[in-house]
Amino acid sequence: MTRPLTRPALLRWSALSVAALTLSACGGAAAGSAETADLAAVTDDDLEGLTITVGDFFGDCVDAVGDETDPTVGTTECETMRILNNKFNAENPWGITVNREAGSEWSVYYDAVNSAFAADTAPDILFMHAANIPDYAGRGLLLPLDDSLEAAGIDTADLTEPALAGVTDGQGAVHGVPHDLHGNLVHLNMDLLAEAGLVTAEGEAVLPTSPEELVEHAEQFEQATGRQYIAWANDFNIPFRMFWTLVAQQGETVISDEGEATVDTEAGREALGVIADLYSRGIAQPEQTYDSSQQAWLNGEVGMLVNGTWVVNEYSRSASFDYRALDFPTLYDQPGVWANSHTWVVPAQEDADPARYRAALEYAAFMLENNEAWALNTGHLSPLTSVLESDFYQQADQRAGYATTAEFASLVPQVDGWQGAEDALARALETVWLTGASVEDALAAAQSQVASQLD
Amino acid sequence: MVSSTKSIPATQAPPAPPAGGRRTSASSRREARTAAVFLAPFLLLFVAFILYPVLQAVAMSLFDWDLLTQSATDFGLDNYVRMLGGTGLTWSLTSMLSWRLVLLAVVVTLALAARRGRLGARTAAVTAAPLLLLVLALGIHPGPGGQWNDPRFWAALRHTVEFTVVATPLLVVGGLAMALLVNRKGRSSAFYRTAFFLPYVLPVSVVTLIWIYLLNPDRGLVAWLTERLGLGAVDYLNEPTTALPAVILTTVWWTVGFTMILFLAGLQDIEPSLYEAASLDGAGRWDSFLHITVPGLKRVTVLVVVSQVIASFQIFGQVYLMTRGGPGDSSLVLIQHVYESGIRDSALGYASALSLVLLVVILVVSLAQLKLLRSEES
Repeated sequence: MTRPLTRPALLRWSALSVAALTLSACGGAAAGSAETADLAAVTDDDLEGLTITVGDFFGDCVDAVGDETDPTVGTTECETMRILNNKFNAENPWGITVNREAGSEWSVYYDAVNSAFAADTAPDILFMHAANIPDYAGRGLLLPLDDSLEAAGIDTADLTEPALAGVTDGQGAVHGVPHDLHGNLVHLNMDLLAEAGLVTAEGEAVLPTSPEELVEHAEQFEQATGRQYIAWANDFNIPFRMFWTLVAQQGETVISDEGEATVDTEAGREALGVIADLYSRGIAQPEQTYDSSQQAWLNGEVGMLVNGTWVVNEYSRSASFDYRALDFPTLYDQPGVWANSHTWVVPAQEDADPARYRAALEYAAFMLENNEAWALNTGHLSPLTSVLESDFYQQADQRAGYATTAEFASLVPQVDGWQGAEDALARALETVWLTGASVEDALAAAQSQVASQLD
Repeated sequence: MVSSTKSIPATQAPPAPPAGGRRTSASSRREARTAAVFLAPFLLLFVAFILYPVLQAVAMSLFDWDLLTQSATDFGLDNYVRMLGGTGLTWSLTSMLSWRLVLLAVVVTLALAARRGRLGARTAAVTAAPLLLLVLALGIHPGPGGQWNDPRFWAALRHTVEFTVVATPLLVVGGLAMALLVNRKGRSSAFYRTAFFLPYVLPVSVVTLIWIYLLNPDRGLVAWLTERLGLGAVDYLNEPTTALPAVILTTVWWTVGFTMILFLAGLQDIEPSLYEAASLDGAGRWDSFLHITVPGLKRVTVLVVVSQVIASFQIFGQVYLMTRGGPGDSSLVLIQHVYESGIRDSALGYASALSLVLLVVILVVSLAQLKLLRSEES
């Protein structure tokens, strides 16, 4: 028989193992240290025939798109993105090929991105929401682009102020190329609004200008039509986005520019109080989901749907009533609406090959240059002033009704840990209508949980 | 009844010890080598995939370990303080009263069982002591103005325990009832066995998709039925009070077929002559079930209960796909919190600390169950 391992020996071995692991922990990979690469020095020859990879969350509609290179035929985000990809591969002067990595759908996209960074397998260029950039840029995982934008022919002067702010950190460093701006809009059933007397003689929708008027309109609408005045998706963070919007319209912030939580404030109490009041009066319904609220609106059971820019073209095609998309109404002193921005970022790579970096940036520059197609095919707002102000854009279906959203869009400041903070904030706010918590308690909890996430 | 266990006749002399110390040690070494060869594959896999990750998790839980940069800083117990601590904590008799009363009832049951000799006094004491400590600990809660450092951890732990406490008995009783129903010969029985087991072969994504459709308030079969019964439609997955029960229902439907198969195997191991003898002695069906079937299934029951408790504590897929832990945090469970902390928030150290607490909870509960159930058996 073999001699059993005695208890002291076992303890020694265990202690040794933990110590070894602890030491290995201390010697773990250092935080990334992306430094500005000299992309201007990259020559055409360096770019010739390069193949790089791209990651995005718009799916793989290759069957529908094939080898199409005309962006005007795209009807969805996926189709337009894939067509633009085809167009770049077919037309770029260096013969660069950009292959899409098997992507994840939107809801788990960042989990896949995080895994890729952890495994040092991040693609050459990534699609990313502006609010998520600091989580990666702060760790040195993204290439600062300030000095390289010009080399790729990107004119930052043409970017709208919110779009540029969305990719610029507190120190003024730029880590992304804006692709669009998307925010909350109101999608209106003009037939129902007319029935309720909420349309002017000129055919313009009468939108509320204060929280009190919102309630009055809702009651007037319900009396006249017997339908629901306003609906939104509770499972899609719309209540949080409404909260953000109403705080911004009071000239206050939910997160200060320095990254501090400013949730539990007078403006916060007012905003959450208004939302809670809409639920308690039965004007808004807390159980409505993205699917059910959208379906109810499309079926003509709801007058006003709060949803984003990304559905404008889809609604235009499928609404069987007179449809209008407008800026979110201003209920306080100044216009303002929650918004975010899709951007392109360049992950810092171990080999730091300037040619690959430059190829990635050229792809982002191409996307920005062809931004009009993206904005017209999907409903998203262009980040370029020249596009927003163009006659072509202004005359396009619905666009004139919400082009101003691009001016007063309120984006999340560049703060580390926003994703977790937003989730914590949304959950804390929900306790008011889901579990009957008071506005004060919910905001106090939100304040400390958001602060803890941003810590 | 023929016993399959062969016993050595009492008169047979024990085998003589081998002569010579050298031969003994040589044969011992040979035996040890043989044992090592047979054990090596398991041990290698165990060390690589169980022991090393657990030790690594212990080490990681002591650091602020970042997923994205794979860097570790701030050695200490911060992760545990963040998980278990809070500000303005206080103790009161009425906090979580219903839970504590249930635990006290379990302690009383253990004491009574020990008194009646159905349970060893030591086993009863060893099991009851931690439960009493838990009853005391559950009185801790944030006072006015105070709060837990991570309220989501406590919400997740609570929902995980609720899920386990409700789902496990349903799986055990449901599995046994179905096994009793199909434990007969014939085509219909084979059909039902297959039908009951079939959901278990489906992947979690398909199962949850089926139930999301069934529970849809606009198009689902359940809403269609309840509306016809005049009960109206409920959006089960978006109501805080029904989200977790809906996940439990889905899980029971999905996995009860597996416990049924285990019970079925147990039922077929029970000697039929026992039922014949009981019947000759005038025992009814209920008596036979109580005095032959239930004792005959003890081992299978231990297996089912312990394995289901362990599986239930690790609930994740169904919750993540059906409710994402919502609405609010009403169906958040521990593994989802681990996942979100580690992958979404990049806090691998904190996620490791959460996992280790879950590991300890599962270990303690499983060991207590094994001890109690085995002690009862003996």
